[in-house]
Amino acid sequence: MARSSLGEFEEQVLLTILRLGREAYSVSIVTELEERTEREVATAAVYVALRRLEKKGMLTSRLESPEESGEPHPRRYFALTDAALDPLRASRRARLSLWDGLEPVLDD
Amino acid sequence: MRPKGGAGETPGWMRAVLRRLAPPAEREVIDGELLEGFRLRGARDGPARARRWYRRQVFGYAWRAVVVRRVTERERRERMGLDELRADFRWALRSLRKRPAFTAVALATLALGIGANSAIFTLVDAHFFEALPYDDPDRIVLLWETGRGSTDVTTVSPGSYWTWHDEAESFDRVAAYNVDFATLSGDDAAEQVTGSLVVPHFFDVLGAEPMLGPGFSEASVRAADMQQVVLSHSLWSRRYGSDPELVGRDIRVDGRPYTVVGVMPPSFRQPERSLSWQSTELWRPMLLEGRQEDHGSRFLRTVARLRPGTTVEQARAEVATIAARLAEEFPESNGRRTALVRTLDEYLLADARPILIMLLLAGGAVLLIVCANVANLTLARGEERRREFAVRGALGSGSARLLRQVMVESVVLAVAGGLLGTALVRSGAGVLQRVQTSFFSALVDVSVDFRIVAATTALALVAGLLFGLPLARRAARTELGAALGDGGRGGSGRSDATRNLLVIGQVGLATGMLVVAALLVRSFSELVRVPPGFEAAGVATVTASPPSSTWEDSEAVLRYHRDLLELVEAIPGARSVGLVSDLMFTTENMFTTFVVDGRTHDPELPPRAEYHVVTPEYFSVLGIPVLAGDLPERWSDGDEVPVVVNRRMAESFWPEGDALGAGLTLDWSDPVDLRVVAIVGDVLDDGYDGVAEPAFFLPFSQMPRRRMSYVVRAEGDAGALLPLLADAVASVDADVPAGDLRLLEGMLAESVSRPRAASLLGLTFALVALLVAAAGIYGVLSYAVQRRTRELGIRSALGASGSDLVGMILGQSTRLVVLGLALGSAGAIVAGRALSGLLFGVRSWDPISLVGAAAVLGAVATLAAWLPARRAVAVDPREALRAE
Repeated sequence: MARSSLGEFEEQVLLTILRLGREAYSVSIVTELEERTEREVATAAVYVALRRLEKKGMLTSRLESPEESGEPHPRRYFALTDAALDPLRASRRARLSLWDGLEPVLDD
Repeated sequence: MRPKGGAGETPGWMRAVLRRLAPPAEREVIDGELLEGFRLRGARDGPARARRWYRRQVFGYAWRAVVVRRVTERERRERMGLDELRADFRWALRSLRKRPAFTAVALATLALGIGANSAIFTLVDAHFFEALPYDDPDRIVLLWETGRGSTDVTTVSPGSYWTWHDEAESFDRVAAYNVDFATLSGDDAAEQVTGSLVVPHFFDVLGAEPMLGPGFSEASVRAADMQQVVLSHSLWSRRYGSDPELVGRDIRVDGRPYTVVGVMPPSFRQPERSLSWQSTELWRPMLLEGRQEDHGSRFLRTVARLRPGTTVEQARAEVATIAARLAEEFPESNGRRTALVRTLDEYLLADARPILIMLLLAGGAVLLIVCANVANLTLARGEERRREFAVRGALGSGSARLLRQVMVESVVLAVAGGLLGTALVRSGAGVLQRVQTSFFSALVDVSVDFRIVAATTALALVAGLLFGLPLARRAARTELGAALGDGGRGGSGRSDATRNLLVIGQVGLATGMLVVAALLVRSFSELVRVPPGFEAAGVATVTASPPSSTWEDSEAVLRYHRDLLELVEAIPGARSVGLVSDLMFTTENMFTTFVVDGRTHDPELPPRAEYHVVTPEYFSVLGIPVLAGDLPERWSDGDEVPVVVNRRMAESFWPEGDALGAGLTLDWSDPVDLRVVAIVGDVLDDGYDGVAEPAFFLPFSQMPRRRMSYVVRAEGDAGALLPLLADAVASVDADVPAGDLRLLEGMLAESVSRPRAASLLGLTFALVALLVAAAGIYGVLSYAVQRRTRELGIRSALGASGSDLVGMILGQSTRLVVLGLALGSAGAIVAGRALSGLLFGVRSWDPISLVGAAAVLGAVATLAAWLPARRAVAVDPREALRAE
């Protein structure tokens, strides 16, 4: 498997987009991320991450004009490609295996 | 949406900054989305916190934008660069397609040049750089004996072999071997194969091992178990169906059972010069123990492996020292003899090299011509396109861009030419392999190495670019006004001069090659015009050797051949039949020393001559004239043996003309008294370029040989006799194979295969050179005609006739061609001198070759010039004037 390196923030962005489904655009992503991680997220950082992931082929995007969406301004929606799934799975496996047996120790 | 400040609204200047920083394509999205986030937060956290949030986002964005923008910028540039290259490539293809004549000429010449050179490089690589198929072949040497001050090598006596084997420090080990024939019989039809008798460690010295089986074991051979045999891969697969179980089983060789102890790998070759012995098919052990003192009988070949760290020069010095000592110890046998060390390379490959060097030079010349041609074409194209370049330049294409387009076009051409050339070589690979094995040696493997093709292509490309580039650059710098103003006639004096020089060079090189080829062809035809002294046409041959297991003594051998001769003479269509112990061109000649009665000879240099055993019909079958005396009876007998000598022998030993009736004695262990009864004509039995040696002929009836060849003159088609001859041999004894079933004419032709190869290859390359040079002349002149369309139109309008115009154009080419011819002929005379070693019967400045080559080249050049010249006549003045 070609191992595309995935930064921690990139991973969080990908998971958030996966969770948001068809509603993933920068505002919803930032909001969702802030709620889940309980800290403020810079919109620009999300932009950079989105751009980079799109370049890596893990994301596709489509632009929705105000006429299509009825919103006051255009929105760029993002979706995961298949190329994003393997790195995510690998990261999940690694984390679970690292956590294995440690839950009692760190449980609060 | 107009940015403005105020509670519940974003700070106007912040939003302005953001909109400035955002890439235009994403500006609305980013602006809108940040605004949306601002409103969300305003509703949730209050306007003050929302404003602070908005500020932080814009700062964050501003900070990252620098990085982000730089990244995008670089990407954009990269993409554009690639796009441009792709566009250049498409442009090159389009422009090549638009000028099919130019493209075809350039491609064809490139393919020819690259293909021809790859073929030559492959041959040269095989002969100069590829290792011979032995382990560490540089350390293998051959040892020969020779007369002092002579360069002819002879085989070696067991005494010398043992001395080298036991005493020489220079060698790891020395091995002796000999060549012979073997007859295989048993389940299949009897078959005669080339064989070799070898000491058990022969293969060790060569560093070769059987692919199957243990090979000869020294212990078992010393225990006098001589019935062992090692087979070649080809024999094993041909006769025994590659049976892996064959090792350990018995096969019948010369009528006796031999145990197969090994099969050699397919790459193994006997280190011999002659092609038939290189593919020796069967090895049997030979024991030389107990013959340490035998210095008289010389029948061995010897091969040795140099001790690591010992040089060939050291070995030479040591062998010479040993030879000097042997000469003192055994003055009778070794008095005037010394020994030679030859490296495998010297012995096996050296004589192919002059031809190869000639080919290499020819290939280099072809490549030069091709490069000159491509350069010329590129140059002409550059001129042709001055206007195009000027316009493109004016429209904003940088000169670097224009330059790159010209280069891309050259690369496309060279790569396509290289691919075509590769296809050419690939389809000719079989031919190349045949050229190699039939003309040079089966010892080196010739496989077309595509790295060589690639390197040749690269060379052509680089050369073409180097030639064409400065001119293309000049074209790219062309001033718009100048280019358009001169009506596109372009062409400065300097580029004309360059082009003319290139044409002169091409013609010169092609002339040189044609002359050399003509010399080789003439030399070859001189060679085969030499009367060989016999009539080869219409003679079929067959060789039979009854095995000693069933035909034990000479009585039996005589009986065998009497029976066979009777059968062969009865074959319908066989007019006359003769027997000879050694067929021309096939085996090494037999020599012997003798004493002329009533004379005393220097004991160290007794008279020596070649001899053959024949029946008297041998001479009439081959049309060898009897010059004096009478041939003996076919079945002569008695104590005194009648002998026939050739003219050379008669003149050498009886210069007074008193050879007839003279007596001589062969000083064999059982001396033989001979009486000269006839003198016959000389025969070139070593091939056309050989000399007739003094030779004599012994009567078969009194000195029978086991192995005899039958020469049969046919009434009609000699080829039709061959199967009948095989049948005759089989009907006397089915276990005796019919060897050498050939036509004598074919053997004669084979004996000149190398000079034939040289002349054929030389001719081929000369023709390629001629073609390419003709294409060059054509290209330059058709460009010139095109460039002068307007001028020609004006001349024609002013009353110049068609033939005036053709003459004018031809005149332009004639000057160049004549200059090239002169230069080329001068070069050819020099080259011819270097080639004189390959020439036979022609001088290196042979006028016929020079004039002939010049005539051919002149004719082709005129044709190449005439085609564009004719176009010049066809120019319609009105059209020509309207052209600009």
